Amino acid sequence: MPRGIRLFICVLAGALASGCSLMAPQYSASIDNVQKLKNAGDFASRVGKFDSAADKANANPISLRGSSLASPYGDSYAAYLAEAIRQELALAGKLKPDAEIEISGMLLKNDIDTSGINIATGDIEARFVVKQGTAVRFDKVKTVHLEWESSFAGAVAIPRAQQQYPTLVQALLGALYDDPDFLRALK
Amino acid sequence: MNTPTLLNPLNRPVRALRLVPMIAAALLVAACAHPMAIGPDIARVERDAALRPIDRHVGYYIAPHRLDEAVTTPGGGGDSVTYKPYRDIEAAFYKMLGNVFASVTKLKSPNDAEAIGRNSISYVITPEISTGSYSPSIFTWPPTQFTVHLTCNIADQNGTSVARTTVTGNGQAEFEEFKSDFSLSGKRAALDAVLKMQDVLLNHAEFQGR
Repeated sequence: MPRGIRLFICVLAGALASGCSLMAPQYSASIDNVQKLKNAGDFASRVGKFDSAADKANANPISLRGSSLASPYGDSYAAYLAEAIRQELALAGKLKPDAEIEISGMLLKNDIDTSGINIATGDIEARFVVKQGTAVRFDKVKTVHLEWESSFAGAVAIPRAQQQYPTLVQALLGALYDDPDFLRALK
Repeated sequence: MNTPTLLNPLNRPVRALRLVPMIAAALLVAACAHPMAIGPDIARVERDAALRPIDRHVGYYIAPHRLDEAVTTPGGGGDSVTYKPYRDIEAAFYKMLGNVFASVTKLKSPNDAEAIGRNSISYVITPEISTGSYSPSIFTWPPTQFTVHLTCNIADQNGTSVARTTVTGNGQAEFEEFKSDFSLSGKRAALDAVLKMQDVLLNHAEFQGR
């Protein structure tokens, strides 16, 4: 093979394979979620500590075809989840820093798979706990799996996966707010 | 035409080999539609503390197909960018309406009688959004200039149109700024549009004295 062609292919392969560090978009509240909180009636809550379980399925950073996707909230996806709940409670007018009711939790699974040519997937799972003082009023695990159209081209597949992360978190919180036990526990 | 062989244990023509860099080059230079999100930081959607909200309850309606609608506008280097303007801007729009009016409710339809009655809604607002983008760069795809045209169609609780108002938000971002956030000019334009709309609504004649 001529040296020029060989060099071109090597440079091309390097350019295609090289990874870079990306940041997940800041959370943008789902107004459908906010409306669910507003419709739940009178309550006020604060957001407590969210931890992250050590698990292979709980990726941090998330790997996207050799690129890495970090959380914009202190490099912590647990902090991302806490910020998401805080935003939606605030927009619903239900966030009160000194409220008796506290929502806390633990991120158990958090990953995006962009290895497919046509379809990419996202998985997130978290345990949510609602407490009043030391009394536990709610303790459940919520899980969400999403799929979206992907692409052979990394230049399309990677940013698309990056933009999907907030949607994944919105879906998880939507599942939480759909649970009548959760809404009862807040009152 | 027979191409002279360069590889040669199997005596294959190099024509196939020539295709590799051509296909690779085509893949690299082919114009892409890069996904991005233009939703602004809602913490920056604030009302001047000296101003008071209008004592009226409002609802707004965005059709579900609008929220899923992706638009594609030009970026730099012959590429384009794709995003969902209604979905991206909705949270900032909701917060802006909450700054202007006593309360805001998302409606399931423009004449969602149950929600309009339950929330004592006086006005129903239907937004329209259109966008444009541009970059003079031939090397980088993120837009350096972005515009967001935001229109509010305002009707009373019976569906009678009472006002229509439009603002244009502009956003600019240069390479040094957007290299850490490719959507920056779009986010700036969206924030500018939402804050301009907030000023227009707070001072709109329809709501004065109410």
